[in-house]
Amino acid sequence: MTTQFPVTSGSPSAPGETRRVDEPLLEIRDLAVSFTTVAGEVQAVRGADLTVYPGQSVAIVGESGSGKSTLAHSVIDLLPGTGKVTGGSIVFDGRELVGLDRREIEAMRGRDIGLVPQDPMSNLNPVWRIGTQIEEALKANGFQGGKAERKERVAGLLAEAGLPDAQRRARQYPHEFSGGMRQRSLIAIGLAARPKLLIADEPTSALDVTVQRQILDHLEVLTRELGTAVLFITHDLGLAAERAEHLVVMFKGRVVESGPARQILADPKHPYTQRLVSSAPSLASRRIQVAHEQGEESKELLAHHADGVARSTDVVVARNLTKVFQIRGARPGASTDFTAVDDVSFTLGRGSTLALVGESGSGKSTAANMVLGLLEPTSGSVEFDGVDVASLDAKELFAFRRRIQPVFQNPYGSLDPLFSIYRSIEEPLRLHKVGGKKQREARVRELLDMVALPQSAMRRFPNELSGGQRQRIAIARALALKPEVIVLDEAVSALDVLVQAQILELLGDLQDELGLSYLFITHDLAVVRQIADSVVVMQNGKVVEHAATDEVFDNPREQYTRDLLAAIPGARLEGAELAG
Amino acid sequence: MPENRYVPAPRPGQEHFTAPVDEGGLGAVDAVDTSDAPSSFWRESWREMRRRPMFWAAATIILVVVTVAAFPGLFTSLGPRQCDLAMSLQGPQPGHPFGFDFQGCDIYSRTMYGARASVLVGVLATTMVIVLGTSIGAVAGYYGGWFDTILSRITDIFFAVPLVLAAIVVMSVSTNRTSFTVALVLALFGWTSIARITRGTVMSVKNNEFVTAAKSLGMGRGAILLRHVLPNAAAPIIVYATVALGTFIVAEATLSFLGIGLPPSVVSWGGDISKAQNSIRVAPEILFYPAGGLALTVLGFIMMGDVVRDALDPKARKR
Repeated sequence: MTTQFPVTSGSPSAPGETRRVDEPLLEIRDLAVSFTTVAGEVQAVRGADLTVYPGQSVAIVGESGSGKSTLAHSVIDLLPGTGKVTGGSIVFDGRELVGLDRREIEAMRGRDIGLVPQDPMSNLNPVWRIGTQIEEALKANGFQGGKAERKERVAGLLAEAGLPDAQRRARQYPHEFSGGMRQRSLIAIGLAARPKLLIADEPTSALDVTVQRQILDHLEVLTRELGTAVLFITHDLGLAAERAEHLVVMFKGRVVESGPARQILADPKHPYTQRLVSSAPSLASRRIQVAHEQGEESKELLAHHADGVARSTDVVVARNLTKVFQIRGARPGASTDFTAVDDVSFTLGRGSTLALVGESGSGKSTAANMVLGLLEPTSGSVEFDGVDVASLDAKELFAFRRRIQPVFQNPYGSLDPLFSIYRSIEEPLRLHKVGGKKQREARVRELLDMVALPQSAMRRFPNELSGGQRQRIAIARALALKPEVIVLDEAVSALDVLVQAQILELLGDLQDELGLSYLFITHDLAVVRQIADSVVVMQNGKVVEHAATDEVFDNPREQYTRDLLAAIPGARLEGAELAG
Repeated sequence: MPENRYVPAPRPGQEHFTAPVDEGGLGAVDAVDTSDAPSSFWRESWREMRRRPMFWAAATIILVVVTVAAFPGLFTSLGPRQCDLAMSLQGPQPGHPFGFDFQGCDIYSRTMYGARASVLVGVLATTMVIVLGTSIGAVAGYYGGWFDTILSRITDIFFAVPLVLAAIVVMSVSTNRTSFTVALVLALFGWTSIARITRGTVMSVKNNEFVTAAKSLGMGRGAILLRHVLPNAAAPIIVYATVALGTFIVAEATLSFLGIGLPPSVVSWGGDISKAQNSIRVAPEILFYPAGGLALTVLGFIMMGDVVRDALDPKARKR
């Protein structure tokens, strides 16, 4: 594992750093790509330029819909649906690719240009053995040699991709592999024919953070050894800056800025890049940490800073929460127990933010649902404002609901698509019989102002709004009954970087204004740094570490916490590179 | 402060490049578009449907058939039972464009009056099926557990019984044969598909986060089912019901044809097809008119079902 910042590998001893080659490997000039839709022609990429040199790593950074994947996929003619290149040129290794016929492109795919796709779950054929799928890749790319040689090569490739016991692994099926192992297999396939260029399309965004880092580290070492150039596609500027020497920032189908990674990070010129640099959670959290280490209490950097006075009372106390699910067996009665949450205790101070952090399957959402009173704990208790929630009768429970409200992850699933925005926000008021029709409408308008949406949005339907706007509506609905606690279950995880930053800021402002307490559930420690006062780190249903945020970031006690911290992209960047 | 670290000079084509700021600016990215009328799911679907010529064709057929069924007197001055044996099997004549059947009745008038029975049975049976199937499917899918196990098994049992066969058995022992009883019998054995569709959709809708949000507002289960879950599960039910209407019309005609559907005293296409069969060798054209009416009606509903499915299926919808 390298501890060095990769860009600095200009030191002559770096292993894979080939001699400086002055001929570009890939040169894209003035590329335009458009899609034909019912509404007419849509330009997905306009006038894009990009240059990759042999052995270099270049990252395309952008939000969803910025055209970053489209740009990269047009290189290997893998545009989805009706997409087609309408102008410009793509020169790879001295050869013009635009207008090449299908057979010639197919001959290049895999052999000259490899691809590591985004989703390891759907990109392997579930009915074929892993080994067979890699063999397939070898055969398709003209591997000469007998069956035995091929088998040996497959094992070699898998071992190279970091899968121990490769011979046995090659005989297994995708479902026997974890997400990380599948992604390693896909990397093995992508590199099987030793391409000169590897396109990695968000190669780790579907994986848990600690796995992400291992895979990226491995990919970096591997491609450097092989001298393969890598074209990364990512939404995370921190990750891009850490893994690539040259960055291309895209926004709405255009390249808005490109240049050496460190230069862009330290001195972004385009207003969009400036916003991106200042809001990427990985960079922001790193900046806070750097400032903190230098002894500055960087209040203005934090999305929110809790008042010390208000923190004296605890509003939610979870005591020894345990939740056991019964997993149905083959026969009735043959069920097995699964402990999702195991003896978890934490306290949420009034007016403060507590983050529950963990990877998928850590039990953090189950714990949150117990706090919300949506799931009954198997044992243990949740106390809200000093009262055990389990002891409430139906009427008291109904009243309790007003005081704690959730906001969920998926902005597309958390609003009823058939309800207008007005009805969605008004529903809690109507249900709890708050005010008359006039007052309710006034309150809806007030709430829309609070979440910084125009009142004219009231008559709209969820499908007309963007993800960030829907999440604002979900927050407005949660605030309608003036709750004391809001449970934010991965509430910003599905949003683009800039929108995420806006929502975090909004949450911070609302907390200051209304004295709200947040239970913030996330897998992303970078976001935690920006918003939380204290952190509970969970792993496999158990609490690993529970401390103040500064404490956790300064001296994490457990190895698992350290792994999570190291997994935040940009952890290796230093202060000077972060001047946002 | 970049220390004495080696920074490679950018290579040709990789110099720091900054695009000029776009005319659109950045602020407009997250604005709410309030220029158009608000578009709800139903409004969008309606707009989608209106664009299809097939929708207008199907709508015209259905409208004509329903009008004929409701007011057959507007289309013919002759009663369906004003028959004159002397005219038996006579060809078309002025005032009698379709000619006469074996009994000497005017075929045009009988075709017009026959629409009522078909449409009535179709609409009645479909309504009953929607009520029965939706309630059973919704309860099974939403509450799950024992409800689901029992209701799903009952559905399976009914599903295994062929619709027409079961209707034949029940109708042949039935003494009271009206449009209502025929529809009831068809509904009794025809609700299973809707129940299955509803159950599946309800199960997927109830896992949405807006349902959890409603729960944490303290809304009761029944209220959530009625206000959030069922409206969101309605689309596939409507699609199926439109097609099913055609199927029920065919089933009614089949029963009447076999003589166990509507009694001979009721004018129906099925009954007329059955009677035309007797004189098929001498006058095959008699068969054509009631059969044509039946085919046209069923075609109308099936075409409509197709259009509705395209409009309501979000996966098929292009944006």
